[in-house]
Amino acid sequence: MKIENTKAQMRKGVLEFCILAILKTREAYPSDIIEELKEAKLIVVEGTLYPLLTRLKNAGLLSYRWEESTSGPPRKYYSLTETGSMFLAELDKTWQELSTAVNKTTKKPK
Amino acid sequence: MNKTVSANISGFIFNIEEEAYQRLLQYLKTIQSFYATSEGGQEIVDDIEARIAELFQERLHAGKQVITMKDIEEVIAIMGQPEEYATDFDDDEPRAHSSATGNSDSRQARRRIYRDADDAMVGGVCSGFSHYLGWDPLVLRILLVFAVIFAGTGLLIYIILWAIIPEAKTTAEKLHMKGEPVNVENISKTINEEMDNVKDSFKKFSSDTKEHTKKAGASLSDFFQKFFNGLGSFFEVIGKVLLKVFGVAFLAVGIMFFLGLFGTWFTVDNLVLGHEHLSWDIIDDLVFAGSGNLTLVAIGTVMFFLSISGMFFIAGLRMLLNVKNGIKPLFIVFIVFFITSIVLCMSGSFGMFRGNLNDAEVRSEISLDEIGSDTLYINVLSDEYFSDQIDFNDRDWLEMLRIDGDQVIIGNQVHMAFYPTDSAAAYVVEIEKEATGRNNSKAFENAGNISYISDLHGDTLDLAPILSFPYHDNWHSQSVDVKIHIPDGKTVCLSDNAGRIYWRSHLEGRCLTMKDGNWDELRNK
Repeated sequence: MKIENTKAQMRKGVLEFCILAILKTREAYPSDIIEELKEAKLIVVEGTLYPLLTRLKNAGLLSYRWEESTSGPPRKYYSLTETGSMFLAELDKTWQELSTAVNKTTKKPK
Repeated sequence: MNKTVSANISGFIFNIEEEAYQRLLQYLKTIQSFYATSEGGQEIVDDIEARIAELFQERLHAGKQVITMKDIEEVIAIMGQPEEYATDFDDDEPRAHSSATGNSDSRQARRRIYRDADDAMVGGVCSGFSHYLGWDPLVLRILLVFAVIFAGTGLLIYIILWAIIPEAKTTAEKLHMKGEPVNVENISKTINEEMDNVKDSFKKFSSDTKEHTKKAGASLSDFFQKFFNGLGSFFEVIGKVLLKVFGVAFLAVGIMFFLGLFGTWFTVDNLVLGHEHLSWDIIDDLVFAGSGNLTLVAIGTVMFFLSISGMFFIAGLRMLLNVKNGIKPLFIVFIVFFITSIVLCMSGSFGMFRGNLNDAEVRSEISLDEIGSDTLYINVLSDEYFSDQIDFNDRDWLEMLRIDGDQVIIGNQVHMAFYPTDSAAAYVVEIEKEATGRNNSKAFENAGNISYISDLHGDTLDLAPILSFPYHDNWHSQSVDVKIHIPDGKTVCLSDNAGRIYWRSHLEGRCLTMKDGNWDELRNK
């Protein structure tokens, strides 16, 4: 069992949660999202994000609109759909529970 | 100074250095083939391309005009390799979970069907399917051959599949074809394998070279090492394709020679067996002087065709399948076969050539002073051997050969010809018996042994259409020329079967008058 594999699996679920969370309050285009995720050290390469966004969009959690850009091709601005908001709320709840549970298990005073 | 290529990425034109462009192209292709099976794959690729365009745009801001290799490497580092996404990108199919719990270190790639040009006999359809199904390609090939032979539909199916199924060109496609996950490890493994193939073939070549020219070999191998390294991919693609093409061609030639062997054999055999008056023994006796050399020539011929077809066949197999073991000894066996066959054929027919080196003729002349009339009647005798319907132009000597006791009868070697002479002269008939022989006296003897019947009574000249010679004389191109000199103004009338000895057989049964050196008049008798 490789540590990278486990790490990736852990990150995988969290990443989707974080993307939805970033989009909770505002519209954003991929570069913005990447900035935040990079800062949080959640992703290393940008290529990771595009498949995820496409998948979330196809699942009906995200929608996007086109906006012209001065510094390149038109950008896709992503925002949460109603389903997305509900999905996020659910994940948020799960995360809180999970976090508490994980903390409880791993940080148990000896 | 570097050449640049202009490329349209997401609707923007960029000038990219050629080398950098190739790198980018390869990168995008890898991504493309990686997402080719995923839902929304094209969209992902478009998004990534758009992002790359944006990143390029950023890099061009400081008055820079051209995207360099360094820029490409940076952008690729930012975007990441597909296998890096793969750990974060998985679809929701069960096997994704199994790979999470199991110890496989990345997602199990879905197999896709491609044609395998590296392992192709013709178009790589069978080997492509074999990767897809996990079967041995030989099984599929044998099935296909059966389908072609028995129903004929196999060929059509093959051509359609060939046209429909794309060839695995990029490394990623080749990995997809084999169902191996596309990651850097596997890509470099595949590339290394291919490079090893090239190096191996080079090493073999260079070691061969060294054996022959020890000193020069070292520097030569050095040169070839560089040469091959430099032309690595080029050599591989062109060389492999050419090799396969030649392989197929060689196989075809080999098979054709093999079929040619049977074709020739049956033709010759039928030729002899199809004649009731002929046997191999007679041909052996007459042509090869009864020394049994016909057998040598026959064995030599069979060996010749076998060795040629064998050599082409194994050369073709080697090119197609890259089989190396056992080829060399087989080849040597075939070469020995080949040389033996030529020696056999030559020694077998040597006696025949030598026996016919010289030719000679025996002339006899009949002057026809006693003919009072102006007309000579030429009466071609009928004989007991051949039909009068056979004319001079029937050149099948196998058909025109009979053995009668110790005499050989030939039915188509009497040639009659007419020559004009002075009106004051008489008719003259020359009869020339011709034959070949080992030397002049032998040829003369052979010509003298020819029996030919001709007789003049009144104004009628009887001419036999056949000649005969003793069986033990053998075949020495025995023939008889009858030359008839016609004085100007005189007439010749030909019997109805004169076509047997006169090449203008349409004139048989007619009378001809000589006038000023030409036949003046054609009229019925």
